[in-house]
Formats: sequence, C-alpha cells, structure tokens
Amino acid sequence: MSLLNRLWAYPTGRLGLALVALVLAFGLLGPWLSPYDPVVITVPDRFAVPSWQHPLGTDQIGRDLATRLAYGTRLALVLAVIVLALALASGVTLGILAAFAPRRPAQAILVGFDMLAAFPSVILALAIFAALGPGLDRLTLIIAATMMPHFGRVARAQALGFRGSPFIEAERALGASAPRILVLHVLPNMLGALIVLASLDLPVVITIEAGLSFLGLGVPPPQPSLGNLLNDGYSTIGRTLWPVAGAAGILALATLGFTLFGEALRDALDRRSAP
Amino acid sequence: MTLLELRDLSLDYAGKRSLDRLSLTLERGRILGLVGESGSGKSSLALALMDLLPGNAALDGQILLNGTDLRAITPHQRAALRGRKLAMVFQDPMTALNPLFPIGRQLVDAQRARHPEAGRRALLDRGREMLRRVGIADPEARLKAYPHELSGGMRQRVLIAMALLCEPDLLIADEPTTALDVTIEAQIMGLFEELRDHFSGSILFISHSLALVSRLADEVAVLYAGHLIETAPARTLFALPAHPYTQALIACETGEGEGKIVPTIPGAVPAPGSDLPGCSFAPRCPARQPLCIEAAPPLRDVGQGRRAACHFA
Amino acid sequence: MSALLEARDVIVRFARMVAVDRVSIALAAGETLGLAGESGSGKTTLAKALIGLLPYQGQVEIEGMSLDRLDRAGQLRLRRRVQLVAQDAVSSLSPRFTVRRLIEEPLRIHGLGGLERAAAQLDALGLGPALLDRYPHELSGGQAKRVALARALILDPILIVADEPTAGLDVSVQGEILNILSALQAERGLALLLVSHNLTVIRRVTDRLAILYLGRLVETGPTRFLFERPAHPYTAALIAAAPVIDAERVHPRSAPAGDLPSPFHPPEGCRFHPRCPYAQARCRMESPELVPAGEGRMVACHFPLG
Repeated sequence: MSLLNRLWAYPTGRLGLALVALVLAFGLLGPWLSPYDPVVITVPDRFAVPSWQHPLGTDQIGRDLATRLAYGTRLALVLAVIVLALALASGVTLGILAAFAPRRPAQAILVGFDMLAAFPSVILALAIFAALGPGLDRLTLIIAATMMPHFGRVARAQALGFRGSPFIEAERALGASAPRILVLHVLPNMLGALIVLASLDLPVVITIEAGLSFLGLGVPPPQPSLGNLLNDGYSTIGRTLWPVAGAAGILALATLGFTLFGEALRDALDRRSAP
Repeated sequence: MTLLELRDLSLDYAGKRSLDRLSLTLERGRILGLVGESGSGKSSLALALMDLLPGNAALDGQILLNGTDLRAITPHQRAALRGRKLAMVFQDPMTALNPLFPIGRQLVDAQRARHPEAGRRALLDRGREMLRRVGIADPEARLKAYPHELSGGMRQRVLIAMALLCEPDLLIADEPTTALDVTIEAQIMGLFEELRDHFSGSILFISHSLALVSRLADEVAVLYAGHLIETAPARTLFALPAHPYTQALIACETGEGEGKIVPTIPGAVPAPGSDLPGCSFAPRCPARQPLCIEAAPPLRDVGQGRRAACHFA
Repeated sequence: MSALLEARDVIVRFARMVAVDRVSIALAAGETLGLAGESGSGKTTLAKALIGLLPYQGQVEIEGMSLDRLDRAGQLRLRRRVQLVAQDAVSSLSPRFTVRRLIEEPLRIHGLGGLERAAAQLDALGLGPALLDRYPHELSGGQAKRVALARALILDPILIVADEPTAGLDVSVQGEILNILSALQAERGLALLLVSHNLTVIRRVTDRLAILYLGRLVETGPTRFLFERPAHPYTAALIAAAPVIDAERVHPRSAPAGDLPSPFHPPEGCRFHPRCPYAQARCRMESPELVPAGEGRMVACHFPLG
C-alpha cells in the first residue's frame, strides 16, 4: 500500500490532506488567477463589500483582499519551505555529527543547540532588526536558526538509536564505509520522522512570520503578508471584519491542516500502527 | 472430575481463523501440556481463557470451568475469576512485574482478590512463606526488593509465587522459561515438577518444546495452525505418536538424522486465514494422500487413549 | 592443521566490565567450532571481536594476518572473506532496502559485478524470486535468516560467524538453516563459527566446542568427547540442564544451584565456584588456568571430572 493510501486511511489524514491542498491551491494558484495587482491603490473602490468582482471585498485603499490574501499565503508558504529546508539541512548535518563525532565536538554542538533554542525567535528577531534593520533574508535566517536545534536534536537521537542497531552493524560487517552507511542506511531511515516534524513545524514558521509582520518587523508594507493583512485589518476593524477574518482564517486552516497531516503522516510511516 | 472443558472453541482475528473448533478437557489436579509452534494459536488460547484477548478477536464456542460457561457470565463476574480461580504466569518475567513497587507489595496485591478481608501483615507473611516454597533464598530481603534488583530466574519464581498465592483452580503457564538461560530454565522446570505434588489445582503448561512438556505433563495436546491435531497421555504420545506432525516434531527435537543432516519439516505453517479445505498439515506431510487435501480429518479416537486428527493414523 | 583463525589472550572490555577475559582459540579451515555459554558468557562479544567488529586487546590473526595491522585494502579483503550472520535476522536487514537490493549490496560495497546473481543466490537457499521485491518487515524469521545468509554467501567467504542461527525459529524449520550451513561447508570448505546457547544444535553440527562462562573459557575440545565425558563441572551442568524428550522421566535433569552472577561483579577464584557442586577452598581463591586434558581437550578446573 502506498504512503498516500495509508494516509488516506486515517480520517484525520484525509482532513489534513484536504486542508493542506486547499491552502496550497489558494496560495499557489490564487496570485496567478487573480486579475488584480496586490499593491496598486484604487481609492474609489475602498471598503467594497464582498461581490463577484471582489470575493472578500477591498481594504481601506481599495486593494482586492482575496488577491492580497493569496499573495500573503504564497509568501508565507515559500518562506516556511525555505526556512524548514535550511533548518532541516543544517540540523540533520549537525545532529548526525553530534551522534558520531568524538565526545568534545559532539558536546560543543549540543551546547550550541541549547544556546540557539534558548532564544525565543521573536525576541532574537527584534534584537537583530534593532541592530541591523529589518529584512526578509534576515528574517528567514533567524527563524531557520532558531528551528534548527529542534531538528538537530531529533536527528541526533535517531542517529544514536541507529548507531548500535543490528542492520548498521551488519553493513559494517560487510565492509561498508561510514559515509555509505550514513547516506544509504541512516539518513533514509530518519527522514520519515524529520518530515513529520517539518510538517508539524510549518504552521509555527507561518505564525512567527505573521507575528513579526504584524509588529511591523517582518515583511515591509505594502507587500502583502498574513501579518500585514492582520495589522491593516486590526486598524480598520471598525469598518470591516473581512481582512482580519481572512488572514486569521488562512492561519487557522494552515495550522490545522499541516498539524493533522503531520500526525497522520507519522502514524502512516509507522508500520506497526494500523488506522 | 473435569475442571476445564473447551467445546468447539473458535477464535478469529479480524476474520482470520486462529483457533478452529477446539474441544479439550482438563481434569482436576492434572497437568496438561499444550504444544505448538508459532502460529499454532497456543498463546491465543491462554488469553482467551483469561479473557485478555484484544478487541479485534471474535470468540465462538464454550469454555466451561467447573461446569460454568465463562462466555455466558457477565464481564464483571468474568473479571472476578482472575486471581481467584484462574492465574497466569507469563513468558517474559522482565515485563510482568510492576517496576515501581517492591515485591512484597505486589505479592500482597496479588492475593487481594482471593482474601479481601485479610490484613496486610497476614498476606505479607503468606507471601514470604510462598517465596520460600518457590526456592527464593532470603525471602525477607526480597520482599523489600524492586523487580530490577532481581535476576530473570528469580523474577519468574516471584511470578509463580504470585500465581500460587491466588490458590487458583487453574494455573496457566505460557512459555514460562522461554526468556531464561538454560540452567535457570532447568531450575524453573524443577520447580514446576515439585508443584505436581504440592499444588492441588490443575496446570495448563503451554510450550513450543516437546522436551519440556514430556517431563512435566500428564496429558499432552498438540496444536497446529489453530487445529488440535493430537491429544494423548504423555507417555503414550511420546512412545507412540499417532499424527505425522507429532512424529515429525519429535524427530526434529531429538534430532536423530544422518551425519550432520538434521531432520526438518519442509515448508511453513499456513498463513492465518488461508482456510485449507483439507488437513492443515497436508502441504507439509510426508504421508500425504489425495484425501488429505480434499477433506479435513476430524479428531477421532485412535486407541490407547489417543485422539488424532488424521485420516491415516 | 594450519589455523584459519587464531586468537591469543583476547580481552574485550566495555565501560565497566571485562566481557571477554584472556581467551585463546583457533579455528581450522573447513572446521565448525561452537561457542557455547549462557547470557553474560561473552560468546557473542568474543565472536564479534574475533572478526574485528569490536575493539579488543591481544592477538587475532586471520589467514596469518594480524587484524590490528590491516590497511584499508586489507580491511575490505577481510570483510569480504569473513561474514557475520546476526542473531536477529529481520532487524539485521536495512529496513528500506528490498531483498534484491540487500543481496546486491555486498557486491556494490566491494565494487564487484554480477549483481544479477542475487536471484540465483536466493534460489540456492530455497527462496523463490517472488521474495526479491519484498522488504525485511514482510519476511518471516526463517526467510530473513536465509536472506541474511544469502548476503553473506554472495561474497564467497571462507569463514562465516553465525550468531544463534536458530534463535527465534520453530523447531521444525531450525534444521533447514543448519542443513544449509552443513551443506555449504561440505561444498565450499567453509569454516563456521557457530555461537549458540542451544546445546542440541551445537551437538549436531559442530566439530569442536568451546564453552564460556562469565567471559572465560572453561573447556574446549572435540564436541563428541565434551558431550560424552565433560571434564569441567560447568560443561557437565550445561549438558544436564539441556532439555531432552523424556516422558518416562528416567534421565535425571539437574540444574546447578543459584543464579548466573553478574558479569559486572564476577566471583573471585574460579568463576563457577559459587554454583559448583564440587567446589573446594582452592576454587574460591585461585583462578584455574586452561590446561590440556587429553583427547585434544583443554579444561580450566582445579579438580576436573574423571
């Protein structure tokens, strides 16, 4: 049975998969389908109520809300994927090193993990932006750095578990080199757990980005992002609920979807558990 | 007098047959050895008796204990039998004790169902005495010990003591020595042999090893792929095995082959739920005839107290 | 008789214990040597150290080459010539590889061709090609054992170390693995180091036997003589404890008293003395050396059995 089939066998997996597909379709297809520009100001259309032209209405300076929401979702997804890819790659590398390196360097890596993980990402971002000024590239690196220890620790624990396992010993007895064992036998077996972790962490990244943008420290306006939309909507909440509801809705759907998807994926990857 | 009687007991796991219409009796004060390889359903039978089957198991037929059908009474009554009429010794002594409590407390708790009114002191005294009887040196010190402080052999002795303290009518031992080293296994088997004289209840001794059962059991029942294929008094079974599977299994264990060639039974146990129309052992049987593949042989009397499920026994 | 494998005074230490204590042992080409003992005897540890899979002190030579002086090429050659079949076969197979890939992998590691031989190798062990696309968790214990064996054999080794080759298998299929090993030995002149706690298995298939107790060798010699006339009380106890079919209950099955001591705190003097029915004052103080005892045997006992 393929992984997708196994995933589909869990009711939560089905819901998660559907929500993830919905968010992805909205974020990836929306900007492409929309006839509007997300930043051009069209004052006469301000505060339009939802209609066929503007499914979610427009904001205080007449920009189509649905379009801005789609662009914001795309940005959040792209950012999350880049952040997680960076965090995964660096975390797995350092985690495996920490598991197989001699005691001293291994401990240095672990202390590094602890120090990075001790900073709340929002506070770290505030400090760095205060010193160097805000920027999307910096934001990406900061979130990736604070997420990295999470993956690193899991990768280390997994690698430690494999180190003494019979199949690794069997490959060693056959004469396989250490890199061969790492790439062919250790890495593929820990990937499942790490992908699940990444899926569960994806909404966290999106939320951090939204939070920082809401505070004006993330994506600079007028570029649409979920946080900017929330901020705009918050200031005009007396006139219309749609910006807040739309951005909050996407955040909620993405969080629910990726969390359910991740949990079902974890169960589906674990061959011992049946739905 | 009959203590336990199984009538047409069948068990399915998610629609797959695991035990097929088992009929078996165990007399009071006797030891029945139940022998089978993996997939024979022997452990499922123990769980069925203890009412510990998982949720996806479907049971059919009757389990009569002292003439009462255990499947007809309420779950509450059924649960009350555990620790009073039925007690079980499990395969793995490492996991069958609670690691958080000292042995003494667990021995007291084990007797609670049996002696709800008795004081803690009295039960502890009984526990100490039982530890001595199962061959544990310095029982006073062991009462205060935690499971991890005891060796595997000692833990299994504690578990046997726990089961005996319940004064059950039926003691079920499911592969009680499989997890132990061979010299410790011999000690525990020695303990079971002593029980024959001191324990008034019946014992159902489940094992994959004919050798272990041969020295202990009064009666032997052989299971294969969920079917009872032979029952006989122990001596008769080993002197004159009637079913080809029993014969082959004895040959495998004694291992008398030519030179370095060891006897085996070619093939494998049929997968659960394969539902062969004929004899379940036919695909591996050296004496197979066309009839064996077509019709399942019933368990029938083949003389000298033996019953065998074979067309040609 | 030139030794294929020769070990002198091998010591294996783990963090706080000596798992193998000054063991000397030799194995001739084409011979089957049994390593027997209970848990804590160090039999698996010794077997792994003997083929360079665990760090050890002392001398081990395979085909006259000292294991600790091998360069990378020598290491690779050793890994090709000497194979380990692990105890838990299912978990010794990499879980994301198919059976085909698993059997090809040894050839790939050593840069050898002939990947197509995988199917033939499997077939030679009595498993059909249908198994080639299965994953380890889809195999039965017996099938996994044979796949592990196929991986070992495809490199054409001269020595196979089989760790508990029958553990976890039903009696009715145990013989198949043993017969395969015996047949291979006859055909290819393979040497076999068979680690097992199961004396019935050891008795059937080994030529010589070494008995370990808490990391020390207590007796070695031709298997037949050891079973007929054990010289060490522990050997005798092990044989007496092994279960045999005996419905008439005529053979006294006996067990040595007491528990296996922890290998972390082995007893002083002879390590078996607390459980030995013949122990004397000397046994408590002085550790017996392994000395020749006739018929090609060696025994480590102050008062060997007649």
